[in-house]
Amino acid sequence: MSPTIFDASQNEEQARREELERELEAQKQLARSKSSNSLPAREEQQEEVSQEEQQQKAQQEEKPLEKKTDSPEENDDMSTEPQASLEPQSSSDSSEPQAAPEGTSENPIHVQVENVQEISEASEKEKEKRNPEEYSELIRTEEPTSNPFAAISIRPQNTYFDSQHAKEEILMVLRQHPIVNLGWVALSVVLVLLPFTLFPLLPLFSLIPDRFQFFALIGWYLLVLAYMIENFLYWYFNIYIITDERIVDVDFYSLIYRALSSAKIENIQDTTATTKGVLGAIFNFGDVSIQTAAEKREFEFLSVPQPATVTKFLNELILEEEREKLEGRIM
Amino acid sequence: MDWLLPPGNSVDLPEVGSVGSLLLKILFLIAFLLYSVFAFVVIRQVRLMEKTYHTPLNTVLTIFAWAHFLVAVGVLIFAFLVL
Repeated sequence: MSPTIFDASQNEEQARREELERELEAQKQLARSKSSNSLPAREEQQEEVSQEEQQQKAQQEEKPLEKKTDSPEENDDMSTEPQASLEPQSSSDSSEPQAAPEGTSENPIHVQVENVQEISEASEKEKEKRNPEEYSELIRTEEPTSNPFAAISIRPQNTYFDSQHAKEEILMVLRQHPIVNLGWVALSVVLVLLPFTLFPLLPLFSLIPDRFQFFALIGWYLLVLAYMIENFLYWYFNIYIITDERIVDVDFYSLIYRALSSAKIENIQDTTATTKGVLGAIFNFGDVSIQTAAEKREFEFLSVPQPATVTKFLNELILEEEREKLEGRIM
Repeated sequence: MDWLLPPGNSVDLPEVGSVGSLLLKILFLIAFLLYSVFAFVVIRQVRLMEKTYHTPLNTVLTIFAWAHFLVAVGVLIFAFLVL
């Protein structure tokens, strides 16, 4: 990539980050204003509730006093005194258990508990991940891929990998463009046809008995089959996985050597897409190199289709990761 | 086993001596044995890769790998009996 293009991409990224930060600040201010508005309202409610309680208490206190003072004057009969003195008690006794279930929402303790629950639920919702469709245009527009041979799979179905976390979602799986297989497929065709043309011309081959020639032919085709199997497995299992948390590079170098390396999205520092060669230009495939701050410094997605789309998608993920950091949605 | 061979072939070895045919047989058997080992490694590798990265196609690949191994062992046994 030329320096001017690199600067332009850096400027774009900086502008996006600034926009994001502004949006976040605006959201935070809104949230603060809401919370500041809601706090006095709660205080007012609590004050009203406490005033009502005080009034009720005052009424309860006044009632027995009135009845105590009235009873000796109005009723000389002492039998009425216990009834009069009991009336307010019985009324208070009967009102308290009735008020408790009705006034659960009005009870300040219940109100506070409900508020705390609401706040905790809201904070949990805030901490939840956003759906990739919300921040990625590619995920939004493309349908999930069901073809297991696809070189670029968006949200592949019924697919998972070894070290995948419970809440981690595979967003993209890449493997080399199918045209890369052209070389070994063509060679395999030649090798399949070779015995019919070359073997009769070999003097040594005609010397051995016919049944040995027959098994030599079987052995030859088994070797060709092995060559095809190895190349196919190399292509099929040499994959690059992009999840909503990290990138994973699964290397299948040979039948006995396998390497699996990963880096978090937040550790990605730079992405570069390169298209080279005539075939790359015609079929739109190339390399994507990713510089990271992880243990493995560089990830190379070799000969993957649509390298520019892949880098754009990675940038979307990086931006979302930064947004998560700013919003405090880090899981 | 003559019926398995192409027409016009015989089990006798008029062109090569008995020692030569024995050596050839051993060489062929070693080659097919190595191929059977390779086929077994393919099974193991497909299983390992299935654990590493699971797709719906992996079941088909596993069946193919087992079939390939059985063919390799079958060829080995067949060569042992015929050669």
